[in-house]
Amino acid sequence: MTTRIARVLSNVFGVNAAEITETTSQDTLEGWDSLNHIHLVASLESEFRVSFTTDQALAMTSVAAIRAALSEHGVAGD
Amino acid sequence: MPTLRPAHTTDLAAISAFLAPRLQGAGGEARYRRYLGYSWLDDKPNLGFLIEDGGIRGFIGGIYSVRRVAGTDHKMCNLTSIWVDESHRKWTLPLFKHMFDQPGYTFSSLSPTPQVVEILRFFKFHKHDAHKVIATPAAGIARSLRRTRVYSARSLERELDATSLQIFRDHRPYGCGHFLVERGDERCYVVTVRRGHGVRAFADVIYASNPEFLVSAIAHLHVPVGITHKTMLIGLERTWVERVPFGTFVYTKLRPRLVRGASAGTSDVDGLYTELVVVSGWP
Repeated sequence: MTTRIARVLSNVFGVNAAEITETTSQDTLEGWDSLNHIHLVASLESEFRVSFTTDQALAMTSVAAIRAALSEHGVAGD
Repeated sequence: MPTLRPAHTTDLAAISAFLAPRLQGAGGEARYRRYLGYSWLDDKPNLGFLIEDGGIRGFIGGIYSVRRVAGTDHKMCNLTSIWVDESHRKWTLPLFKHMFDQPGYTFSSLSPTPQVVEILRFFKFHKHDAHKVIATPAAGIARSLRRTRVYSARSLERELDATSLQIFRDHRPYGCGHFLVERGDERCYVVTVRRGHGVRAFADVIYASNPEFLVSAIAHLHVPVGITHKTMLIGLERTWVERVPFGTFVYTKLRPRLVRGASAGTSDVDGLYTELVVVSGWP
């Protein structure tokens, strides 16, 4: 993937952006633990200039869920 | 798929066995039984929350109390004894969320690790410095000539008002120091715990009913505190002391305090009814 979402995940988890797909999730990406999840949320907020609620942030455990949360803020993740 | 659920008294032995080798606190499993078996609340909502997946994989402890502040009761929960196994770290945030979904509580964490600080900040906790003014025996000598009386735990019970008396009775089973300082019409009930080790040990004042008066009378407390805690150094909240006086120094090395209040304010959160109490007097 070459989307902004993929770039953010790539930076936070230290993996190649090409390895990030639409099906990437907390279950498939090594290192996606709680602290990295917090870093991911902060990075997404910074990248897309949005502020997630705690419930939204907790639900963003996959690329699809991140995309859904961003769309709630009227933002596309591409 | 792991189960996240409240922990109850029936889980206490398993939780203690889970925590002891991981947190490695002095006293082993007994330490955690002591933490979670605190005596001031018979009807505990729970002992905290746990992750269960063929055994306990994670735990966050809660020490509950009801505090009366300005005529209103507040439900408090002090977080303690937190651990999640590496294999289940992705369940850490949901575990904390289960804890914080309990309505009406003011949550506090008095000695969080840097990792726990990050998690609590994520959950909108406010972070406050836990700076102390450490009073040496030289502090307040100039004001020590005024006639001041200090009651120790053996003699103060009949002198306390109802609020202080309840605090005294709830904390008496633990290794806290209890003092009543009196000068003229002014009084201050003081509860202390020993913190730190060796030359860095000090008696931390975790509660003072009249902090302003306590600061002015601190010179009279060194000897009774020394007898109780085997240290003459007394730690006062930095916010109680306007100007750092002669004979004191500011100690900034304590971990920060984090609070998320449902009803009580940050200033209403002190060390009473917390892990600082249940561990006091413990080896």
